[in-house]
Amino acid sequence: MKYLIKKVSTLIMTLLIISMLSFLAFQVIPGDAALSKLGTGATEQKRQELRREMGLDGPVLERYGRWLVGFLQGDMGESYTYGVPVAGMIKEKLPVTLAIAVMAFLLMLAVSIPLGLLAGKHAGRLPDKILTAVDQLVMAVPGFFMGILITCLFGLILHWFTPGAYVSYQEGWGPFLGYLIFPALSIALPKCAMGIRLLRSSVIGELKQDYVRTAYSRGNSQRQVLFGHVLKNSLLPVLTFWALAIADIVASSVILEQVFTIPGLGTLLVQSIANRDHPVVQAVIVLVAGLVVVINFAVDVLYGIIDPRVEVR
Amino acid sequence: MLEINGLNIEFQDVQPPLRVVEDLSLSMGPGEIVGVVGESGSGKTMTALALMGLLKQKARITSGSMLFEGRDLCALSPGEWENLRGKEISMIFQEPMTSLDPVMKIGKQMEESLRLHTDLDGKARKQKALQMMAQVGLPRPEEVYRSYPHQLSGGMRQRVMIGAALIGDPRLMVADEPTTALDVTIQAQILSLLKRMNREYGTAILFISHDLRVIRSICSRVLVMYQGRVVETGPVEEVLRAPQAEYTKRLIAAIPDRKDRLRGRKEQIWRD
Amino acid sequence: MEKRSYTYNMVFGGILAAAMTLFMLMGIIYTPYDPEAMDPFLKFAPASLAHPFGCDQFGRDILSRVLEGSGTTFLVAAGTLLIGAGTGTVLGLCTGYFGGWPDEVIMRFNDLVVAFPNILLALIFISILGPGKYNVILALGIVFIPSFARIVRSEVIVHRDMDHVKSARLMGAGHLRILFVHILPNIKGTLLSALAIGFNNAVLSEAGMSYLGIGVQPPDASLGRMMSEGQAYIFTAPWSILFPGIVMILMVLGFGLLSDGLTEMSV
Repeated sequence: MKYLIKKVSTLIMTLLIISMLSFLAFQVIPGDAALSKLGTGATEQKRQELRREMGLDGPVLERYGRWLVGFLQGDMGESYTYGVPVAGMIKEKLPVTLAIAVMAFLLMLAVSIPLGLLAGKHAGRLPDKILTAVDQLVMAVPGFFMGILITCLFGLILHWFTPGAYVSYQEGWGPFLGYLIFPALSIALPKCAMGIRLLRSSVIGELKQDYVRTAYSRGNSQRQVLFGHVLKNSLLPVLTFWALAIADIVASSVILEQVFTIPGLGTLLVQSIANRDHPVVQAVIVLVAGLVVVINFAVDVLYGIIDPRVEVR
Repeated sequence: MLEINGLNIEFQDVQPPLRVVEDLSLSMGPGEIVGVVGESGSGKTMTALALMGLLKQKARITSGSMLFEGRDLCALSPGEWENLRGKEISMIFQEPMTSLDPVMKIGKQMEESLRLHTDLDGKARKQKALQMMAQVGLPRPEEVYRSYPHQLSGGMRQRVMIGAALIGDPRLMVADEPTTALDVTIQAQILSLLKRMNREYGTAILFISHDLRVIRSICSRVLVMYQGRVVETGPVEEVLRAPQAEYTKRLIAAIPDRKDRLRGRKEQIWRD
Repeated sequence: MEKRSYTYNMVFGGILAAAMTLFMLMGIIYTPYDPEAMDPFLKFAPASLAHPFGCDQFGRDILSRVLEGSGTTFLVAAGTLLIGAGTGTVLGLCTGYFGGWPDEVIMRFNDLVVAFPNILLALIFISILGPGKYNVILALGIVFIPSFARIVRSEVIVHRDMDHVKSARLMGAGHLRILFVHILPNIKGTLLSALAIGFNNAVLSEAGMSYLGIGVQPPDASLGRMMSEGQAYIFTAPWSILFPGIVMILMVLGFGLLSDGLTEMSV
């Protein structure tokens, strides 16, 4: 319980610091937003008015406070470019990016756990060597190039999907997920390679432990030793990697949305950066950062539940 | 009950093959406690592992036979071994700190043999596990049942190991240096526990140790091993009184006698 | 564990990394054609002796563009490491060696940043600084500081209390001397391996940002942007995307293997 309280307070602190830092970051940007909106011909008085209207007056901390309260109530300001509430823009795109990230994460687990176990168990044999080589190659492929290769293979050669023909979830979840599985796969593959590698060396280490011999001495078969004892022990160190991978997956999604022309949070972010649409950039960044921090917190707590030794540490 | 004849074990990954156990013969009756003594590298652990079918792939039995209740262990298939281990022959190890699965509850490890070898349901297994925990002298069984290895002391873990090894009611238990990693006082407790369990369950124990004193306090017969060979065998007291082999004599000479120990204790008191 | 002087990873990765470094360096000083010269007659020309990698949609020589782009990639990666690894190493050395509250504060801050994806942080900086080669270097450099600081710090803590450092202190060596003469050489292996990984991360991040169009800007060539442009012609002229891709994979593969090799050797 004490462990949990400590973790939750760290979480809240982290969230506050992140939101403050990203707020401050956008305060130092050269250029006056009111000026750029009105053009250089505007009078000084008009600019002051607009500043007040946009919430750009007052000391920094006060503005941060106002912004934070607004953010928590779902008021993320207005887009400079489109003049519509940022919250609405984000709300529409969030499910898309989340769907990609979740699918990528599940794919990563589904591929790397069995293959990592297999490679670790048969370490040094031919299949393991082939897997290790493929692993190293896959890890060297840039994320967007993986996306392009997958588009090429599944879209243009096998015709499993039409590149660019994204279907919104409002039109149907089946086709929506059916399209997103390909960017998810592109994100997951490099993560799988890393995960397999880590799990492999973890399994090799665990198989040398004394408790494995004990398990055999009680009459466990190889399979039972592997799944009943070794698996859980070897997953623990890899769990930390997976927690970090979540953040990477979200980041990769920003890029892969471009490759597959998907109108998600990433596309919104990239467009807004190009348009210097700061309220949108700020909101997306804070949201993604918050998401990553919360997920990391969840993994931390999960770790405490799975590994009984954590609490005493 | 157990009849080992002319057992040879070799490491075959080196040229020429390295013979670690040579022409070992041993017989044990039901409920007997037989000791194997020797220094590290004398082949005693290899013998124990061979008896469990747990030799690493590099090590191989090249000749000899191991008959357990009339069955030839050398001819068992992997599946038959799995049926035998934990049910008819079980084993406890030297390192109680690392021999238990760190992320599995004590109770689950205690009853694992039952889960693998019997049709008992979860409730009945727990019942038996709790009984066994009381038997091996673990305090507050319900609480220990739910705890993890890192929450127990070394002595308690070794009690768990013994309980888990005996819960399937095996006919033979191989104990590989079960007290070496423990404090002297805990050592004595574990030895008397083993003796008591041997009496109550009638489980024969093959007790492996480098320490003649420990062997003397628990075994009726002893095999002295040196460099893979049995150099002497016989009832413990006889071997101790009139050792035949040169190596045995040296082993006995290495035991600090009672006077020395008394003196040692006095010095200890003075120092404190 | 037995200590082998050279492992497969070390040899293969070393050779590949050296070859790719040469390739990148060459791109800075020499290209067979002007990378910007367009020739309508050579539009989508496939590979030939005169143009080994073929030509793109404007008839520009792809080999020349790949060379120039590799040169940019090298500059960006090297600049990033200079800022990131340089500052990070000094920071890690000092915080690890002296400890105290600055160490505590910086490490808390580090925890915060490390959990955060590199490219997203870099995007924040880019959205403030604006795109362009030097801003990418600055953004990535700043983003890389924490991970280097963390690696160096944990190594310093291990070595700080070792006997050879203690005896140096007893003999009256100053803090600077201890740090740079007695500790730094001992963490060389780990640091080099981290540098190789850092190089790869910089290459991949720059490519990603340039692919998005918010990294290196024209007229500077960039592998990431070449691939973004070539994507539309993947069927008509696959070479316009394949060659930059392959070159990039070889770079990352070489430095990745090298890093593995260095880690194996320092174990």
